[in-house]
Amino acid sequence: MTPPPASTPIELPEGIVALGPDACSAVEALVLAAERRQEAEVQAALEHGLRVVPRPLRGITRRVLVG
Amino acid sequence: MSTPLERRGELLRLARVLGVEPDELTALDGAAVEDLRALRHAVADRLLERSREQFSRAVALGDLLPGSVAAKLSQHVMGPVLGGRAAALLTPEKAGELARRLPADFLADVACHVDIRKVQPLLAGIDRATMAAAGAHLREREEWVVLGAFVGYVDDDVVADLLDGFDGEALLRSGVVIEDASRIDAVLGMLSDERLDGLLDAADEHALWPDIVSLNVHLGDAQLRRVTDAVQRMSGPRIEALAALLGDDDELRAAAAPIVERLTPEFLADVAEDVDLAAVGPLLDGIPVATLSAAGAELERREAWTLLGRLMTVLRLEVLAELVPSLGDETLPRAGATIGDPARVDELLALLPDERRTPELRGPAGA
Repeated sequence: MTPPPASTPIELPEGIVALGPDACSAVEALVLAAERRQEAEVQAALEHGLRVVPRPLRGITRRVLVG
Repeated sequence: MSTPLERRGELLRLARVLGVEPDELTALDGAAVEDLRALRHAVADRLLERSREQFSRAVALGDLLPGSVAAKLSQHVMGPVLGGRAAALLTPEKAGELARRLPADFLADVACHVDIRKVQPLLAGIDRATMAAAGAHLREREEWVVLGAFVGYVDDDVVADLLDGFDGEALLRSGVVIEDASRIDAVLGMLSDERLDGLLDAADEHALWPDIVSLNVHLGDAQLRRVTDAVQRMSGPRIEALAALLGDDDELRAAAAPIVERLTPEFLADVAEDVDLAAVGPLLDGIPVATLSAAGAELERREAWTLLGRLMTVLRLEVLAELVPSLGDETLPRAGATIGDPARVDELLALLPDERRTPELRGPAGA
């Protein structure tokens, strides 16, 4: 594995780095977008989860999910 | 040797982890399959770490809630993408319990998004019937890439269940994208001869010979012999089509060598009747001299003079030098008479020692 450019969220395999800076930037953008999407989905799931759980269990659910 | 299907499979896996369509990965054109795989693993690791705390909380909640509620949360709140990623943090017992409570089509959705490296320990906790039901959905959706990933990580009996309902095309398309290539030999060993024949039929019908031939490098001697036997059961036109492909592709020919080398003289004698021998030259080129020579001897034993004549028009001189002196004195005139090319007959006769090269031997063939 080759050390990534400073802003790359992951270490890119050498064969990917060898594709050039444009390819690396494109991969970096895809990874960052995937991270943002996941964070939004996780947040939405945690909020939605509280509504799905039966009322008597919501207190414990909130404590476990939100802390 | 990576094939187009293998590459497409890896791009699809990466696209799923990134949450994009495969055609959005054009920046990675030219990347090797192993680099795409390494990239996918790195991205999956990253995404798990980014949300590890929240996933851990969700898993902890699942441990506290009744199983039915936990399953409902998994399906309707987490969904297949987050559920697939969070699954990496489950215990085998909890994974087994959830899997039993979740519908098979949802489990199939989850299977498309799990990091199989991470959930491997969980698979043992999921019963065979549940796995088979989810596998049936994946098969119905033609999720070959997902099935190909699981084959590397589940027990043989589960693989056997999964493969049970596969037709030749399904076997082939999932087989060529098996992620753990070391499993290919064992998986092939689970297939009956009839299903192996179906696999080759599918390769021919769907123009996937390069993909199946590329699997040879992962096979041991026993399975190579079985594949060779299956090739030898193919029809003449299919043999010709395969030979034409091998003739056009050096890499493919090299990959096919373990099979071609194992073809038997009896098969070659049989096939001489069914194929245009001139069209299967690339196949003949890879067959050991001794096998080709033995095929000629077999045709002599069968007194198949026309076929022997046809064979002797296409074999290399190196092979003929071994075959011709071994033929009986009555064979050459009979087979030679069917060749219709005096110059070729002269070439054959020249391979005999002087004392055997008599006018009678030339017979009508050399006239």
